[in-house]
Amino acid sequence: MLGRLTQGELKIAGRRREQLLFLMDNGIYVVTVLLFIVFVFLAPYFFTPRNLVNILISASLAGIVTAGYTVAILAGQIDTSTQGVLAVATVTTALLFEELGFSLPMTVIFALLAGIAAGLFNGVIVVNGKIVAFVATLATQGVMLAIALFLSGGQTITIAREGLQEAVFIRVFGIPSSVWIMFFCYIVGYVLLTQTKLGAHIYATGADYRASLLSGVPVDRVIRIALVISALTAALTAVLVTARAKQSAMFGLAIAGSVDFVTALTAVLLGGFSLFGGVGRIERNLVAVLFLTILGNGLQLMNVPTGIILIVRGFALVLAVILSVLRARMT
Amino acid sequence: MASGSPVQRAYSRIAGGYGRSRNKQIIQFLLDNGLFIAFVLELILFAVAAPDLFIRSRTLEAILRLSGPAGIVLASYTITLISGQIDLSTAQVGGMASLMFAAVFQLLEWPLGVALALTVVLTIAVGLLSSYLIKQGIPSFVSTLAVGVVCGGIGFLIINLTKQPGMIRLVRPPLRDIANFEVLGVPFVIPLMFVAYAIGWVVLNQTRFGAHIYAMGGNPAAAALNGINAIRIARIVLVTNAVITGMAGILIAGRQLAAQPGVEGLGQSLTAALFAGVALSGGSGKIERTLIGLLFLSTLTIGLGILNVAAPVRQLIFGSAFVFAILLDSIRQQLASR
Repeated sequence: MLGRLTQGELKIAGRRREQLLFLMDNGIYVVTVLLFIVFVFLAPYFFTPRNLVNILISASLAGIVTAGYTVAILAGQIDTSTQGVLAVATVTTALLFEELGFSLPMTVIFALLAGIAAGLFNGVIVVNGKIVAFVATLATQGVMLAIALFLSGGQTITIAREGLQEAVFIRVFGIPSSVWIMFFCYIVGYVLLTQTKLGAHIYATGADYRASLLSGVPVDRVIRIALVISALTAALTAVLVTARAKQSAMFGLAIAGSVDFVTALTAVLLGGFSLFGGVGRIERNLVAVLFLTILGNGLQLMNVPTGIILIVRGFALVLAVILSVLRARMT
Repeated sequence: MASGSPVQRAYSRIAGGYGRSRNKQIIQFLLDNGLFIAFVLELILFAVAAPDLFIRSRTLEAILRLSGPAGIVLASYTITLISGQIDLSTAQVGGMASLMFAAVFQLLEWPLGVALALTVVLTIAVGLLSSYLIKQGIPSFVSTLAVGVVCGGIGFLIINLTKQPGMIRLVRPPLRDIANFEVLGVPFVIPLMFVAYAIGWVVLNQTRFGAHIYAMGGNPAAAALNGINAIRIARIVLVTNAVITGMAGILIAGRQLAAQPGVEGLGQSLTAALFAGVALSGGSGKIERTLIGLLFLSTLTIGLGILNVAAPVRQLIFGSAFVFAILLDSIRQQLASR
């Protein structure tokens, strides 16, 4: 086909390709704004200060998970253990703060350490076991859920002690602190990926594992670090979610707007990342996260049955994957 | 010798001619037959731990009853895996199908045949959706994962629409009797499972289609160059798998007298298949071995139940079994590629 095209036709085809790519890259902004406007008219209570703050908090929680998740995807590792890490960290937070009476900073530190441990565990299975991350983390997730179940005894731990929710959701300049934490995560992620040697290594490992290995990139270490970062942000999110709900969340049924790896994966793919690593810019994910949160929140306010919200979530992932594959084919 | 496709068997015969180290032979022997040894050890262990409770015909029956529907699914799941597709939507598809069936059969009180036909149509649609995504160049584990989310949603939607409290009770007579129907004192799902395995064995080993499945799973590019229509095979395999999973979901719901969004007992297909030496990347594995993998896991479930092991510990054991299974697969692949 391409061989028969004249120079002029090629130029037009090239231009059309560029237009399509431009649309794919920036369409998400337009769609998000449109969705927002639609919900302002359709969903009751959507456009109220209280709900807007609500959306902001939900988006920030999903955004933090997505930030770390992005790093793992960029390194070519599809991390499916997010739910397991969230469960371990939420139970750790609730146990330490409520039952053992730890101070707030110590609780947060130990919850994050639990996340790091989970990430290292993933790293051992993926790197030393030489197993594809997608399957390896699916398996480790089972172990993590069991540990969370073991620690909590299968019970939801309610936090009666004061201080956790208040401290985590202090308003700074009128905006909840979780939003600031999210921005902080993205700034760190941006600097890490674009300004440091490690960032370049992460892109390289994801783009071509073999070539990176041969050119001296410490691929194993890069993969380990990427998995730890992914687990660390999941643990941080778990602390915030626990503080917000004032109880350990079990993440059994994840409905739209809540945090889990399906949301993170969808957001990352909608943000323009390749499923196979190596391509993408982290700041785009912010919009994708906002889009998914608004979608979930609006549908909930319209009193749409949970089943439909779940189906929409599934199709959002399907759409995101198709877009991602299309993009890969065009570039 | 190495398990797997005819090609691999031939290859290892050639390699054997040059002589292998003794250590490698022992490791290979353990990888090939370790499952049998582990199964026997497991039986002995439980028999010693709980002699009067474990060594009973009722325990055997419980193990087989548990294996029945899971085994029917595993037969088709193994074929799917050998063809190089990892299906992660099993639990959700089974749940959705049982809810669909329950809504039509129990709540609308339509005839059994109509309810079954509607469920089959729905599961065919699910299989077609998965294979359509795979045709677009999306890896099977991601496509089936996304489809699984959709199926979970459809299941919940059915519960929402029928205003049921989290599950649909399934007590209308014909099904109840069918699910618990016995042939010569044996629950009929058990012979049904063996029939499923027999069909699976014949398809894989005696037909051209089976040879294509092995070829496609082993080396998709080479299979495509040899004129094998990979998309068509993937479609047939995934649709069959979805339909069979749906039927098994109905059987389980019929036994439990209730349909629920997630079906327990179907999530272990991957572990059982990997234990039995089916390659995660496709192209090799023997279907009859997965039966042992299944019996191993069912015995574990029943045995741990008899020993009254706490739920978290049980989950930890099954979680570790999955991790162990993928490690085994990794070791096998590394040995094979050496």
